[in-house]
Amino acid sequence: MPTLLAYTEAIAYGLDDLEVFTAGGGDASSFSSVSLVNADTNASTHNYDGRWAFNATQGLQRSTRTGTHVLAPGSLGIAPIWTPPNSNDRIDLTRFFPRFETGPYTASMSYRKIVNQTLQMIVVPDRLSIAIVPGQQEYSLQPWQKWLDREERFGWPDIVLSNGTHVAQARLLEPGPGGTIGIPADWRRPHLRLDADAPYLEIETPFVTGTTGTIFLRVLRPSNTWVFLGGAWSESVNDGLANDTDQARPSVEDVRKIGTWIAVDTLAKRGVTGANGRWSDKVAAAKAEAMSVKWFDRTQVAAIEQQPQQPAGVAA
Amino acid sequence: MPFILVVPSSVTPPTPTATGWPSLEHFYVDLAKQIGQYSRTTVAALAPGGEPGRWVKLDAFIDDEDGREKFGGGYVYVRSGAQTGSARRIRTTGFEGPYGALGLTRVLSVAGVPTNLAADVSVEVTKPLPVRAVGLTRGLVDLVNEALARIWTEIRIEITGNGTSLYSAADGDIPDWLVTNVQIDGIYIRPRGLATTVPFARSTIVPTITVNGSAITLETGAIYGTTETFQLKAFVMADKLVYNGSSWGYTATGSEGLTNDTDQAAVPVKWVTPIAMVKAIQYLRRMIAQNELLSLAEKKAKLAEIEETLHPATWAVAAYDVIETLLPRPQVAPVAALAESASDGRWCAWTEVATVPVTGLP
Repeated sequence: MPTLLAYTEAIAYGLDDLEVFTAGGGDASSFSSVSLVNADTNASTHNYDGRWAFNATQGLQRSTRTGTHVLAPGSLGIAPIWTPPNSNDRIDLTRFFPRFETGPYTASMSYRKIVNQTLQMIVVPDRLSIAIVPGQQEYSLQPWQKWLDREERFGWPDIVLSNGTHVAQARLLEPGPGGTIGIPADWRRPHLRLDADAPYLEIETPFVTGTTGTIFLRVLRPSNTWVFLGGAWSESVNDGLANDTDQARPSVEDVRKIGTWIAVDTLAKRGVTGANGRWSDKVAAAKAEAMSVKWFDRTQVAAIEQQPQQPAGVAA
Repeated sequence: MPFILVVPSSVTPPTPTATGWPSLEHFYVDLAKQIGQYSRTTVAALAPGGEPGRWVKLDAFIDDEDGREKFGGGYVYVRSGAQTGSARRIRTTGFEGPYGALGLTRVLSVAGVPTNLAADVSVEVTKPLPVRAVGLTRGLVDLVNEALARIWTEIRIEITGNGTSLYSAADGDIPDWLVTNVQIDGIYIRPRGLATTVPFARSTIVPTITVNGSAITLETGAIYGTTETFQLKAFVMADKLVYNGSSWGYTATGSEGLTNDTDQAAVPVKWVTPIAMVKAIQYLRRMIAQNELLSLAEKKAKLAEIEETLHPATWAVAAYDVIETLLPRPQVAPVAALAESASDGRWCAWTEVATVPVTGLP
């Protein structure tokens, strides 16, 4: 599955906002790279002013110092100080957003935040297993309370056939005859009941005495809630991806479309003007492309548009 | 020619124990096959797991392609085993083709405990009506009995003389269902002095049923001695004269009809089915018309579907033919016009002008 790094690169490259360097070495306040070498002695030393610098190998987020591009050895000044980069460390330079909102930039909007917000807006089909309790009509959904907050999360979208016919899919599955694989159980009229912070699956027709097995509740979960962290897929505690190697289920292209919209919308709120005009002029097109994503959770569109302006950090 | 069944006058005649007439099972199976779908098969064992009593697995129904709606709206009737007599409706999307399993809207149970049917239990699957009533939905058995309630059966009631010409229901001389003159059609006697092997012959004396409130009396018009036996030709509704598995008898008032699968009525199946079909189609139409969940357009569509698939007019004609040409019917003497006496202006006695038959289905 795609990683945080893959998602970030797709968004950042799409905004033409990512330059990747391989460190040749460095110290506590700089790094060097052959890519920074410039034999033209008249070249500016300010080409990399106002950038975010991220040592992807060590996970350290910093910013560049003004006028510290040293052309001959190919080095660039960094602030605040960091652990000196090793040879072959990957160093990412970005202009609009830092890669990670860590270190001195915890309050900053970052590409990682954009990716995680994007993952929150893409739903993925999932199936929750719940042990049957004979006679019981309410089943607690406490383990999933963070995102099971609306009836729209129940069920999967219709299957659309080539002739345009919509085929509805069952929301609930129960053991079939003789305990065989799950079969549709919507006739038991399942629905979501919210009791303050506690969600419940309510089944109007409970199972009779002697029933064994498991019911499966089909849901559309935000894709930031089920991620690959630390070598295993699990329910996300921190609502998304943490490290460059962490994985999520949506495709890179889907994340790129929605992530770009979030990024452009954020830049527009800053009143920033890009090289090709105002970012605010690009929001509508970016939004339209975002909403073309099949699994886009439209119930969350308002959440993005009402988002307060993020701290700009280093102005682009 | 109608069959003639000879029974003694008592409510529970010991003889004869005539068998070989169609049973309730014969009647409703024939009706089921005409009105929709019918199958009788045996249950296959279900593996443990899931919800007990919810499924009926029928290997004869296995079909890997059929959709879940195939048997929706149908019914299962259990004919043997611990749940004998249970009737359940099949869920609208309750068919699992690869397993041949029917999902029920209410679980089967034994002593209140949800329990799967045992292997080899016999069941019947019918659609659109159940074998026996389920909820508000009437069963095929009810419609058979409705048909039987509209069919006359001719019988000869053997009565032993009491030395008078009067025989009452209160004294047990005649059955209590003889309530009108329409139901009798003559007395048959064996000429006095002849051997009992001589067949009964019709008497020229016309008997009458006299009704005085709740008192009903048969006036034979002649006196029969206590050693004499005569036969009263009568007509009884086919749901009144029932063979209950061991003997023929008259069902109690309010309990007419066949109850158990082995109960018999003295009418051929093919006479009953057309009349039962007419009643069944009337019932289906009523159910559609009274279904508040259907829009007017949906009702019209479903009623049109009945016209196309069940051909009500054809069955109505068939029922009419049965009633008019095959079934025995009492003959009713019409009320004659009163003729004023030429001498003193008083009304004269009734005069029989002609007879007209009792018409068929109400």
